[in-house]
Amino acid sequence: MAKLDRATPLAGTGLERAGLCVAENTGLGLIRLQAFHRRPGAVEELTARLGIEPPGPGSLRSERDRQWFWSAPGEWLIAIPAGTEDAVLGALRAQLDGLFVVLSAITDSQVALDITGEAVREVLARGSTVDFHPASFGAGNCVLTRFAGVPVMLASPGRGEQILLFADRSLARYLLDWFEAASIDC
Amino acid sequence: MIRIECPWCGPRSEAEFTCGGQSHIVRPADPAAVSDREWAQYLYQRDNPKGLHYERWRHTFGCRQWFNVARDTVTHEIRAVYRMTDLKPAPGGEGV
Repeated sequence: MAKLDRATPLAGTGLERAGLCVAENTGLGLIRLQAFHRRPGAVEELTARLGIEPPGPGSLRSERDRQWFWSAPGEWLIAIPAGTEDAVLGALRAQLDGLFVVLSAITDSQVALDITGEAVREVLARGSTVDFHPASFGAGNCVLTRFAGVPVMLASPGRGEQILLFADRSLARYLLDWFEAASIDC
Repeated sequence: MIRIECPWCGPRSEAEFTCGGQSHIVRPADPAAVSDREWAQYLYQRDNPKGLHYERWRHTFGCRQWFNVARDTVTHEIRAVYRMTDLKPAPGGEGV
């Protein structure tokens, strides 16, 4: 298991160009929280137990060392420091005990990419029809979209022009190749 | 390509969605009581209108939710988008 634990999808490889850098973010642990949103009051109950309001559609929220990303009605992706999944899962399960929710650690099924550089929005626009102008996709926004033909989540946490991309782990190499081809003039 | 307003994510291009065909098809309450013809009608027969069509769509590459769309099959104009739990808007009614 130790050998598997250390294996990351891109094994340290990335992309560095003048206007665009793509690097794997191995510092994040990921937890998915799913609630039965169709039951009236379900999200309100969840909010009361958590003590914070989870972000609404198209947005993210940072709270202590956790980042919450809206991913569907009643569903959120929670990014935490890597290696703390078990502790956070235990704390959340205790906090939400009795509620109809599902908590899953999904770190190992996902890849997180940090995309930075002055050409980042131009390159993103080549992969999706979403408007990536800062006025539409600024700090605190996240979108799930079809990007380079595959489903991904893109988020703008607000650290300069850094964009976070989450996708299935098996797509990591393809996405890196896509960024390399799409940013050849950057 | 058409733009569809997902009830949760907002307007996105058609490439992010999957069309699930005609909506508001009601399963017979007692399948054993209907004739073979009526059962086949329920399973296989679909409307093919020139004009307003009520359809199910899923935001497959986004929030993965199903919802209903009232679309004009001639112009591709989206006349209404409403959630699965909402009532079917009447043709010519508000928003359609």
